[in-house]
Amino acid sequence: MNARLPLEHIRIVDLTQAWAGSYATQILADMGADVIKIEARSRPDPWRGGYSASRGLSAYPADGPGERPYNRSFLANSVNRGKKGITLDLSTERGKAVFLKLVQIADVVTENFTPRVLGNLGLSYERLCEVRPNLILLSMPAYGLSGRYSPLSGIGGTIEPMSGNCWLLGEPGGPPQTSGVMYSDAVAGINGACAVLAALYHRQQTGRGCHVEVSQQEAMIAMLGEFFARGDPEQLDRQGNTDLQMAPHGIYPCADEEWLAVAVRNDEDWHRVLTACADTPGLDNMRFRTAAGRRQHRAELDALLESWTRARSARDAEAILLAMGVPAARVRRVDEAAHCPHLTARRFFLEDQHPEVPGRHRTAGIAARLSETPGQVRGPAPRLGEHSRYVLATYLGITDAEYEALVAAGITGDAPPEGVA
Amino acid sequence: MHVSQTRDLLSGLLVVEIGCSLRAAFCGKLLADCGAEVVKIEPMDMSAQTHEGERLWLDAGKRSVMLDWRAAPAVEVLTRLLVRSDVLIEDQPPGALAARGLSPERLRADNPRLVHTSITDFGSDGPWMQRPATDLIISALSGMAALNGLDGRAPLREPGSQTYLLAALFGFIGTLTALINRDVTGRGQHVEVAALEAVASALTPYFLRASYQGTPQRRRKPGEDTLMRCRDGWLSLIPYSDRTWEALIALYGLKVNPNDPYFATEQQRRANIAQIREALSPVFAQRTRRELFEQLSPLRVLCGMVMRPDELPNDLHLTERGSFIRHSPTNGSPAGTLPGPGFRVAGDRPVASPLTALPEPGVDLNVALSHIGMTPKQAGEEERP
Repeated sequence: MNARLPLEHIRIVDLTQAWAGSYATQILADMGADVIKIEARSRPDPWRGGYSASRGLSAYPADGPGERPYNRSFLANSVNRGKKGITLDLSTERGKAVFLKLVQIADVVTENFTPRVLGNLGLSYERLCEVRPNLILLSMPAYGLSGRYSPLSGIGGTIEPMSGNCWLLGEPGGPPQTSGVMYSDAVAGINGACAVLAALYHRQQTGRGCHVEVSQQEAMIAMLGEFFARGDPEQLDRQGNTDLQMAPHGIYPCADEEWLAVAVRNDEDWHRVLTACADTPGLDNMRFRTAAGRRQHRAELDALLESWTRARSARDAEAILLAMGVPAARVRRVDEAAHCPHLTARRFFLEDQHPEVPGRHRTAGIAARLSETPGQVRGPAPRLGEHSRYVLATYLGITDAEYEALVAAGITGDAPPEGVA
Repeated sequence: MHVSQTRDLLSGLLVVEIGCSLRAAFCGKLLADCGAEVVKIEPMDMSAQTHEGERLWLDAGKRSVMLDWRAAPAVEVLTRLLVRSDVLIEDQPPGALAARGLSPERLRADNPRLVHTSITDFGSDGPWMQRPATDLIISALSGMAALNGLDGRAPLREPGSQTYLLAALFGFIGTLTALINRDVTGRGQHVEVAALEAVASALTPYFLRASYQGTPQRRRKPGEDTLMRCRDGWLSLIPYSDRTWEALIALYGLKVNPNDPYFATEQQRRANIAQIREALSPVFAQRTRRELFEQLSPLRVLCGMVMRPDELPNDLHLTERGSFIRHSPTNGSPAGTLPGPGFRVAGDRPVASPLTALPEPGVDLNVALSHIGMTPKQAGEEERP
């Protein structure tokens, strides 16, 4: 157990839901921030999959949704580890009063509603600063706080197309695609963590808080900078696995129905490929001698390299090219990557143990490693309202009788509302 | 009084960047976008080899110092500069800096407040530490490529070099976390980010899924995507919720019995997405992306137009927000229209200014030397005007 975590002096009151916002605050929780995640009992985080399993998110463990499916979703449990979870109905005056008391002792508030929501609740940044001067507020609306689309909701499946990523993702000549995983949420989440950290650093220097925003659309657009930088319309078609500079550069089929990624960075790599693939006629053609030539004859080159990969297993092909020093890798599925010998040797993975999910579950660890005060994951994702009583009593001095009255009024608690399946 | 500009956030911070790839360059850019003074050390004039637009994207707002850190006199200059710096961002192969006397231990002995951030492919230990890699290789090894693309077809990386940009973003996270902690402890530290781990972190939900369910997510079959063809392109439509389904039926008079067991619940609609696409395709084929988007969005139907990247700088919403920075030669930069940062102070509009101009390669040597009280002559360099 570390004596000190780098952000252990920071408290975050977290209203975010689903992936992007929850991931932002999970990154900060991993670094030691005390994150209090707030959900409404009437409307829990959608990544819990609802109170019954009928929404069909298919997010439950192999043994099924169980009695409390909302505590067993891999989605919610993957991005809320190490947080405290409470329920609070912000649409009631009493709920709001409790919330403002929490804000009073917080450094940061985070939210990813559409821009009108906080204001409609009477909880604008200005109002929050009345109870906690120099507060940092992170807002993560799909399209930002301003502009004509700002009132609209969005998710990864709509942000990726609106940012240009879909247009570029896909096979050359084929239709555009969304990523397999609503990946723009992860990008927005990481940007959210960046925004909070920059604001915290600034506050520590100046004493001033600020309102920072992540437009999830802009966060994704920022990942495509090289396409705007190049400004060549011909390079704005579906990319497949081609690269603007390197060739050959692709993922090729092998004899065992697996795939091999190969990237030739420069002429040295190309000479290594020629040595490794000496049994493939045509590769030594002078047309391929320079990087420009290889880019120009990319399709021909890909076909030749594919004839070489198709003649051997992905593992053999990877070993041959790696032995020559060529960047090559058999494509790993996530379940294989989870047992990657390199990441295992580096003790990157975590074994998540959740009280409502049997077993130990391997998941990704902390990507930014600090030598002196490393982050640390402090427990699994909270069950619905798991820390409601604890946080209200310990942080705000609310008595048991007051807590029970709030539960009876439906404002907080650790269970779905009465009558909900 | 509150901060009003993104460039105020990190003003006063002195950063040295020793980069050989997008990993350090993009991390340095993120710091410069927030107002840090970023001194980019370039071993030689790379401007001829680097696309001008890419330099504008990555290096605008930085200072450029040409210094071959692999040569002894330059190491001395660099060491003295690092004594005065808050942050070193570098992405050199493991051991390369240490071989020149610039190990994390040595640097922090000289400057205990230094935050030294190394952003590599695989980190500084482990069996793959020296494995040759690129963005594509990281995408293949991390599980990311295996999630993208169509079942039976080649896995796909995200367009561009996004694994390296994710590593750079985590470099920023680690650096800022260490700086915030420095205010508490008075001491800097070494921060290490491996691109492979950054991408794995971004895929956290899918790692947990593979363990919970015993099976990984597979690539989609054709037709399982949310993208639908319309008159002038594609629209992504998320048609599962009750509200959306009712709106689609009412708006377009779909010939579907709303109580049809195939479509009655969200779960059934998810399972029968192919039939939903079939029912909608004649309606969508007659309408443009924008017609559909502007008709459906106000009804809170989740949808998004598939935009070409070159449409974005002139899109009205993004123009209203000032999402793109338009560099003109009058600012001292080459012309170019580039995405602004992925986060900002609310209400701020990032704009091109002399502060965000692209430096001429090597032009800032005098400035860098003035930080350490040296003249170019003492540093063995020729004076520049």
